[in-house]
Amino acid sequence: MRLSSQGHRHESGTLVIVGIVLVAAGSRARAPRIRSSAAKDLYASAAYEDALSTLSRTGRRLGAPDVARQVDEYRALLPVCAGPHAGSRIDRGVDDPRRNRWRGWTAADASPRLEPMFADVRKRLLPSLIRERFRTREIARSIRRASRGAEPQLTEARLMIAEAEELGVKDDGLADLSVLVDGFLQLIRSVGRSTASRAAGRPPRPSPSRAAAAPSARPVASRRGSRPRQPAPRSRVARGRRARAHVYSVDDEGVSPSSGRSTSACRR
Amino acid sequence: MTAGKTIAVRVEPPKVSVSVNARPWAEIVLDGDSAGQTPIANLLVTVGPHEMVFRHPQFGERKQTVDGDREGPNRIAADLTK
Repeated sequence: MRLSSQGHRHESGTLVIVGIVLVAAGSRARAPRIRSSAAKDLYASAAYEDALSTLSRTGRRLGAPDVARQVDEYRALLPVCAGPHAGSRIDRGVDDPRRNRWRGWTAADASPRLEPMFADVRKRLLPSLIRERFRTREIARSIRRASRGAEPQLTEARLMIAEAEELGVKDDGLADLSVLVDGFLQLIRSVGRSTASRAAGRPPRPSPSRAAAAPSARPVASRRGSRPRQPAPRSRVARGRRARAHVYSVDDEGVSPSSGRSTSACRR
Repeated sequence: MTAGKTIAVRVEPPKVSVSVNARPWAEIVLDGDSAGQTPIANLLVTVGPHEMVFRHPQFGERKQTVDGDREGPNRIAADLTK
């Protein structure tokens, strides 16, 4: 009887602790949405500095994507309202890697004068943002291993290149980079398809993308400021892949640099 | 300066900063002069009453009297959708 009551108390205590943890987690998850909403109200009432300080308390935990997008938009917008030196502050807002989700102006309550202002900044920063996106270690590793890990970043880079084209960005290197990104995307997608077909017990079906990716299937640049390379020795090819494509990098045995047009884009 | 003579001295009224916003947005006309599109921060106006017009191509226009207060903050917001 005594033991049973102790056990009951123990269970109740556990339930209370679990409840507190859940409530705390829920309120932490809601915090960005509440702050975003408060900042929006402050912005609407022309209290720009207060709105900005409210958003700065939101921190890096941005919660749901729609909240994150709104927070990003208002973070970029508020410095424009908040006074002089707006230009550099917009640059920072658009340049921040977390702001890369932001493309074009979507806030319903923004006046027409803001759209060209942000488009100009975006136009100026896009080439460097695209190159930053492309030169990540994860992309290099993913391309080297022919895994699909880098597909989201490459897709994002692809979208940014399309946006740059739409905005009329003048940058000669972007055309080369566009070819590279497309080639890598086709390559890793075709590898994913062949892996899936193998898993399903069917022979990999030839696809146009595989044929299109063929020129890129030769060893390609993968590291930051990477150098071009030549095909790996036959023994390694035989050992390293069965049905799986393998993209070689300078780290691989027997790979040495040579000249090539596509790789020059990586260096930029 | 001669005793008993009067001279005119121009005194500039002090200016205060005003922040203006409108929903969805508006072209602001302050005392008959365009002040630009919202959002506007740190718009300098003299202390005292002013006539502010909010204009939007779809929501029409709305007049409002604003009073620049030295104690601040001076924030004027209008919701043209209501």
